Amino acid sequence: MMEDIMLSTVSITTPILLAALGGMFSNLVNELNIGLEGLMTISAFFSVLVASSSGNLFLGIICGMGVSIVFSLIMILFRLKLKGNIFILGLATNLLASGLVSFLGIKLLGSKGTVVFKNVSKMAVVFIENNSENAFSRILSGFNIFDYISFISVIISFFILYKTSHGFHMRATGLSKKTAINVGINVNKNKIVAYLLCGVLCGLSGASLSISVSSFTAGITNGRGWIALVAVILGRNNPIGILLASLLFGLTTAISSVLQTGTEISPKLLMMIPFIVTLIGLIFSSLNKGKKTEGI
Amino acid sequence: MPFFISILIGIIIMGFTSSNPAEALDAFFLKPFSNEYFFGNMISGAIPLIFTGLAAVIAFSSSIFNLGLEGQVYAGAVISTFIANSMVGANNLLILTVSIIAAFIAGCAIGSISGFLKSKFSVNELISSLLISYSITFFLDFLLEEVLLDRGSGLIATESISNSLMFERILSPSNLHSGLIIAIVLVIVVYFLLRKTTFGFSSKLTGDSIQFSKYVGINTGLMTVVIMGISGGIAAIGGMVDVFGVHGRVIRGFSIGYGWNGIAISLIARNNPLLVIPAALFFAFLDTGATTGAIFSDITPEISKIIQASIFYFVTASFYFKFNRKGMGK
Repeated sequence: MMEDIMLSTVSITTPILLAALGGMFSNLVNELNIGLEGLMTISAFFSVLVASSSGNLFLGIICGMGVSIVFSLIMILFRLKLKGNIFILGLATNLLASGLVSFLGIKLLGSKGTVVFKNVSKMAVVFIENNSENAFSRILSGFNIFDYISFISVIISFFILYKTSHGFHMRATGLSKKTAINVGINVNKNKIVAYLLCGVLCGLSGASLSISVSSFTAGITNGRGWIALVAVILGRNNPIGILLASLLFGLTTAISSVLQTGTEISPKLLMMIPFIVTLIGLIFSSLNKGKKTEGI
Repeated sequence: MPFFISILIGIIIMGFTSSNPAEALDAFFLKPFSNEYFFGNMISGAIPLIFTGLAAVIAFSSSIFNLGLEGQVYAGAVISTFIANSMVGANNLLILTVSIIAAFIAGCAIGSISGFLKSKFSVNELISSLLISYSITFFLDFLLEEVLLDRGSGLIATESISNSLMFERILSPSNLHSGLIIAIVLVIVVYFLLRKTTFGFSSKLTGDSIQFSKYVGINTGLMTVVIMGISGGIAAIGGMVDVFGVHGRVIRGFSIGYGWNGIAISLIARNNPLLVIPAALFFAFLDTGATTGAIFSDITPEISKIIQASIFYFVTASFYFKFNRKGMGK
């Protein structure tokens, strides 16, 4: 039972974590991307479609990421060149993605419901030789590549943000645009780079949703993009914080789904748990933040 | 301008995907006006959007984001239906009054929680309203499935309210109902509230600068709670009006999308309460066009979403065009 909870915690956390890291980069340059959901949807569709028609998983993931990057860049270009409102652009991306995906679903696949793709190879799950004596190998096995990628992404994001000049410039851009311009940081370039990273990570997140189940459903993201935004705020723009916030949501969701099968309590009531726990987490996190700023 | 560009995009897509583009265009753009049924349904489809659009306008004009509209609409619908069903036998006018007040209070309570959390603990209201909305939706689904369920109907829905309680139909056989009048009255009330009263001015001031507002003596914390409350309350009345006007009962998921579209409409209306009506009508037109397009030709209804999305892109861009022109004029 504990192993089940752990496994499903990780698989629930993965897409949220990836998208949240993408959202974090956008929030760092002060252009919070609320179109995460749309980017995930579009990537989920194209990655599984290409993976199935080409028979190449890797190509599928790359294509999903590519489309997600394109949409992400369209957003930031509308923002920078046409002075659009990033909030509206995010909503537009969400709407366009869901419309486009069901439209293409009907045109290309003849269905807007669930489509199961046959030709997607099942390499996605990594099994380390299950050696029951070695507890370490047991912990590491059973996860798919996306789970590993998401945790590696946390480390890479941390490295980019705190150990490279790019990360420093990005953070500076977010803190004060004017100061950043004055010290010679190219603000627009940093915003574009942030959205590029956002596109990459949301692309991975979307691919992880569809490829791991070899199918696509309209509404496959099921609000995960919004939960990822919650994780960005709750994790306070810090990759480690975002990891913890995503895990909190993943763990409570996993527990609530175990309880759904094991108890008599109505599933709908149990499904409220992750959202309420996250809200409480948010309140406590804001309380702490309030104290800190007062202290300074 | 953005509308023309996006409709042009729609026309191009239809031209490429339909085997008979002329017929498709006719079905999408003209059929909604062709008879009373489609025309009435189009206007009736705009009614809940006017409410949610107004709710979003109120929040946005004080620079507050209320992303919990979905849950608030749903809550208003469920509570008012519950009251109408449990007060059977009382005077109809009394039932309607109590239902509408109860819906408002429910939405108001849900909305003001986010306002309270923001003013007391500085919790981001965008996130808290969203989380609360998800939780409320699950809770109401639970009520619908296990407590209020009408087992005879075969649907996941409450029992129908008495026919005599339903709003008067205006354009039979369509769904258009007299709830439209409530919507229009509310638009005018909100317009005066925001533009012509001290309250409206203080709310705008609070949105512009909290520090300055505190300095001039506005209770900004209370302001945030009240604004979120009114916003949630109006959205909830929208849910109630949709049930009492069209469905007659709460069916699970009937209001999905009302909240998001409301936010979109307030953005297109540029936060002007009066412009909410045309913006909502335009959205309803696209939806009706999508339906008629699918019935009378071979285009898929999802096309309306693509047109709506492209409007967003160009609406924000047009801000720039306007701004730029002003700058050159100087």
